[in-house]
Amino acid sequence: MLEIRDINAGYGDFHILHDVSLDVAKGEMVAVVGANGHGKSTLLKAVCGIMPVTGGSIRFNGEDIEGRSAPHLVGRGLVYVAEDRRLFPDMTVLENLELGAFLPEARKMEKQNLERVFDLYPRLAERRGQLCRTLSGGEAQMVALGRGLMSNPTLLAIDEPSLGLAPNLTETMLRTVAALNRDGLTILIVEQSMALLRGMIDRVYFIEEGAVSAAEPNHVQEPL
Amino acid sequence: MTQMIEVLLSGMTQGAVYCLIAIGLSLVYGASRILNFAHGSLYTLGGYIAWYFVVGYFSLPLWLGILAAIPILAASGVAIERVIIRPLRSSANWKVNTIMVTLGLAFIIENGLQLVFGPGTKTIPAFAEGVVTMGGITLSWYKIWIFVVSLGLVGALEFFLTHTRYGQAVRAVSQDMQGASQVGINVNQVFALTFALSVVLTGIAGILLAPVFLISPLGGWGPFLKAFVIVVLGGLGSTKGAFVAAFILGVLEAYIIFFLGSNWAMPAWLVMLIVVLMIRPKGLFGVWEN
Repeated sequence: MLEIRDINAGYGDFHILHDVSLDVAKGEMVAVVGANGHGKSTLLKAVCGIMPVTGGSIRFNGEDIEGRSAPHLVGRGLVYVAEDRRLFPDMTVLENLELGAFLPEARKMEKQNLERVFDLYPRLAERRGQLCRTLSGGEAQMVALGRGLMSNPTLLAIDEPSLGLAPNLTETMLRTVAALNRDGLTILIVEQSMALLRGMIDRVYFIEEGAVSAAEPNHVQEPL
Repeated sequence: MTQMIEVLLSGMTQGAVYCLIAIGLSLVYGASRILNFAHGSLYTLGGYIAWYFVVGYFSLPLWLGILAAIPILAASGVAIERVIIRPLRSSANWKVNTIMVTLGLAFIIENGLQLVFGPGTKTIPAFAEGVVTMGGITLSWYKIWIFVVSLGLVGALEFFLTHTRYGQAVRAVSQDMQGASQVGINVNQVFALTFALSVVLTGIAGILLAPVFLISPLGGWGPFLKAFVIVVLGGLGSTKGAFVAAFILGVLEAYIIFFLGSNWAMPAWLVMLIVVLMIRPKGLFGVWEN
């Protein structure tokens, strides 16, 4: 479904990703694990059109997508959930979710997807009228994931959902993501540690200094 | 007493028009963080376009002149964003660059108008004549019209921003640009739209005020300065703030003119601005931060 071949990316002269290749097949949950500052987020942003790619190729469902803008990719079903949430602070929970279904493709599914999000997170249904700037970290992460689902993704790219969350909230969050995957959603997730992802993911890539190496999740030693 | 009420009503009419000028400036700043220094010259441009249709060449009625001016103004807004602003956005100092460039654009528009229409002043006949008297209070029909049209347009803009999906997208861009692009909003399209709306609103203000004040090529700087004070007082980027600030300053101006004379209006505005910014540096409703 997603084939990344030898991509490079960075900020100006600061080269971050070096010839990264990675695959995600339909229905899989694939993780990219690595320490802070090694290019995990850059990889996800480059794939999702948030930042430019300087070389290599990305194919999504058979279409060459490198250099495509994020809005174009959202319309194709490749949806990005940012580590820093990127919610609209002065809008309500409901407005944030509605905006997830901004494009016509997602708009058609808006009602079903909203029900699905509220089923997943009844708490968001209770707080639908609340401004997002007043939400707790855990609730904000729920809105971020919910907004991603509202875009009706075929592949959801989630950037470190555990960032800033208490351990028990992180676990609930990751279980939810795994449940979405079992329901058929393809997922590419980025995390700092393998520990919490064990048993949930199909394959894992380790990223170190902007280069990735593939590994089988069950034969992996936890990196220190 | 009736005189005091008349001053109040006149201040509110003025406030409604100021609001129309300022709200577009604030809308553009809110969405794209660009301070459009050509905003005042576009106000003047509106007046001249309407003059061209109503007096100069076609003798259309004023309301039809306004309708004819709208697509021209909207296209000018889109063109400014596309041709002048967008190429600058990728540069490192785009905030300062866009200020300098829009300032240059203001001079180009003004001198262009002077070249085409001459340096003299022009005027457009009002589309409503006469006065209405109620309980000893006298108001001209035209001022009532200005008030109603201005408030109607501002209300329509607010409705668009809060009750339509595309209006929500405008607010989304102003609150988090990357977040907006993540949900599929074409940020450049939103910028172009806000420029179009902004130029249409300020241009219509220029047309509405043409029968009261005169149109002249350099006449946009006064309204621009006032709009700027309103936008800063209300909080940069907040349309609600611009709305409230426009009425506060409009009414303040009317009373200052009545008691002290028109020379004191601008000093009073600036004192008000300084006081508010000392207490609330973000302005009345300035809550949006990067």
